[in-house]
Amino acid sequence: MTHLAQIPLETYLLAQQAAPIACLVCDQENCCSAARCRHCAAPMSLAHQTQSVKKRPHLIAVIGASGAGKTVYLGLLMDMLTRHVSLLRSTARGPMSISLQQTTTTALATGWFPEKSSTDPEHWHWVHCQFNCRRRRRPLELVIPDVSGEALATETEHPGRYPAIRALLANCAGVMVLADAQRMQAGDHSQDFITLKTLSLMGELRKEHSSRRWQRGTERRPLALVLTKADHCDGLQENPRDFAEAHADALWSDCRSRFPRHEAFACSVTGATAFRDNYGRRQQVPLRIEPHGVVEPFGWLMAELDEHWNNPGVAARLCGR
Amino acid sequence: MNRWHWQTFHPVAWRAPIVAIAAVVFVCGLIWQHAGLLGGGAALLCFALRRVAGGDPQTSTLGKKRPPQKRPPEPAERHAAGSKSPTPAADHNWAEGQYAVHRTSGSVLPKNTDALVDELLATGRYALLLRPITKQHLSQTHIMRAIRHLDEAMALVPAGRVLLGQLAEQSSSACGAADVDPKLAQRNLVQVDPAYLDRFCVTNEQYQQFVDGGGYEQLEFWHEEALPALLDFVDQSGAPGPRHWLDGQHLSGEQRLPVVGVSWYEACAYARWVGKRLPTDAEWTKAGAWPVEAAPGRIAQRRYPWGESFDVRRAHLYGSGLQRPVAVDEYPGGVSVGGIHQLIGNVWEWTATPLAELGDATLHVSESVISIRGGSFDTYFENQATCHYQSGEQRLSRRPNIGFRLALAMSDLEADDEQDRNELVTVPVTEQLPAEQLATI
Repeated sequence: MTHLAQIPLETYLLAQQAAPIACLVCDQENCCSAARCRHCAAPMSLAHQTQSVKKRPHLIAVIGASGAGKTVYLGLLMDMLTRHVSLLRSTARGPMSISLQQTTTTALATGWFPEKSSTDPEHWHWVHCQFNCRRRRRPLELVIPDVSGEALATETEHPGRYPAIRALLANCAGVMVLADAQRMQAGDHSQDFITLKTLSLMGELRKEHSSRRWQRGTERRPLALVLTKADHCDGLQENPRDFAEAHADALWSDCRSRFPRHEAFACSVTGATAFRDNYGRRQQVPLRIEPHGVVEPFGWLMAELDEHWNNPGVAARLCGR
Repeated sequence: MNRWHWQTFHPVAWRAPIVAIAAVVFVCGLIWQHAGLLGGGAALLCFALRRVAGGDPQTSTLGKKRPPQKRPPEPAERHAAGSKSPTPAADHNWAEGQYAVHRTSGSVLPKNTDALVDELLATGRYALLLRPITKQHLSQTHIMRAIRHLDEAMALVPAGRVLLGQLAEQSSSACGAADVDPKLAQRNLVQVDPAYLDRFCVTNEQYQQFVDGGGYEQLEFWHEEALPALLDFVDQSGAPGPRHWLDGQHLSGEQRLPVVGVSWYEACAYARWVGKRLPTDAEWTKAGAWPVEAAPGRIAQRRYPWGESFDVRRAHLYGSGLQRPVAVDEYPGGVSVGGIHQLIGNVWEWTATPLAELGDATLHVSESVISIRGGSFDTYFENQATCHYQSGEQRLSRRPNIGFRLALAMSDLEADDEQDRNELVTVPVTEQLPAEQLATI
């Protein structure tokens, strides 16, 4: 026996299904009201924020092994750009874009390092900012995720585990490779392999995604090798290229061969570190925050990304050289 | 107290066993064909033989070539003639406990007391003149001149108690002094004896006099554990001096900038040369925070020397925009109650206290980490450049943002005779000072 039931026709739900929105990172279609992409878990607010913009924002991939300093670097970079301490300035688009800056600076100011980035993509910080240079009128829109180093390693071992990483590596417009210079100087190159694998994966994905044959040829994306924790390494601040050649030969050679547009930079955030007991766990803590070389690699990347910014004068000013 | 000191050993007495040990190590290396032993033995042998052989007049006691003295500036001109490096015989005078002749490289001994006083005052070594042992040989005029120099260059930090550590930050009125547990505060209170503290950090100009005066060659100024590292304390050209200097000279136009790129040992050596010492952590904090003990255990301390809140016009931190040190007399608005400049900002300052001794049980640092205070031009967060914030650095570090200022305990100027006898006071000798009296120093 059949019963008749009255079901309201919620037209707005149908409308959502009828007008799906594509994820900015992986291009997969999602429901209009979705908070995160059902495919890669990237926040859909990124797609909403860029709907009004004609030009699609550039994706920047910040890669490196776990503990290389990606979160601290990105968080402090955003804070410095917000404080207008250099020629570069940034304006956050959406409250979500300030979370990384907030978490990082709050931790550093109170004498702790921020918690390690979660391997769960839903907990990653995504920064969507508009970057301005004082001397240029046209701003540049960038989206920079703070991806967990462990997730990067997992993705290289088990492809497809993290669709967001895969999409990011395939679609990014520029790359920042962060490497722990202190470990390198000590002769520990175990972390280099994770970066090498990631760069290799990037190369393969580019070939897969390039529709035209000519696009498969030369790699046009710029790569900045950022040697972090430079305060512990003598001579690194003065000449990062020499340091990279001397202590990270394999990684530096790979970067050079894969990315014709490359540069090495030295960066440090803490002046000194120590260990502190925290509820029975011994944790490394910063004794003071003294950022050096944080903005320069980013400025160089900006200059390389946009032809309007890419003239020697602007590039030199942005890179602090 | 008659402590054994490495300087009191006759040079040959310690060099001969070293030669013997080096030879044994070298022979063992040969026998066992061990590369490490061979190399180590050879290096030690070379070092010891060079020390025994002495060297040419241009060579320092450590066998390091002195740089050509390109710029003998005003004070150094007096040192120009009669260049003579310290000899083992001069060291031996220390050993016999008689008196010390500070024969700086490129210096001539002053002919009379006036010239001696002039020279010491010109090089900022007035503290030596005010030591009781020296004072008794000087006229009232000389003493008054030295006191005037002291008053101009140093400020008095009065005796009293000061709160150190995390609690000190809470005790500042900005954080609510009432929240501090008096019992807990009592445990963190430190009694400070009266002392003088430099009004300004030591400048490149002042440190140049130490370098020109052969401070890096006179081993009596250096801690024993620093001696192996002494050869590393060189500038960009390999000459003895702060890390960022060139050819043993500071860069032109940087005379009034604080000297940076010096290790803790170099700061201590300079302090000994001028007859002072590094301030303790408590003295430094007291000078800046200027504690007021309204009731027993209830201490109100300033967060910054000028008050409770940070003001970008009063201190040179990251927010100032200039990523390098400025002259020591800039930012006059940041002066402390006692008249001390730039306690906050510009450069961190070495203290005499190891960070591990400061009572933070949760923090694990090695004994070699020394407390530094005050923040510098690249300190990013204002809350890390307060009078109470403690950071640390390795003793051997020669960072571009760490300088120092010196202290002088009032008790050092009023020491009794017994203390004087045991103290190593570096007093240049003149013919006017009677040798019999000097023999007792």
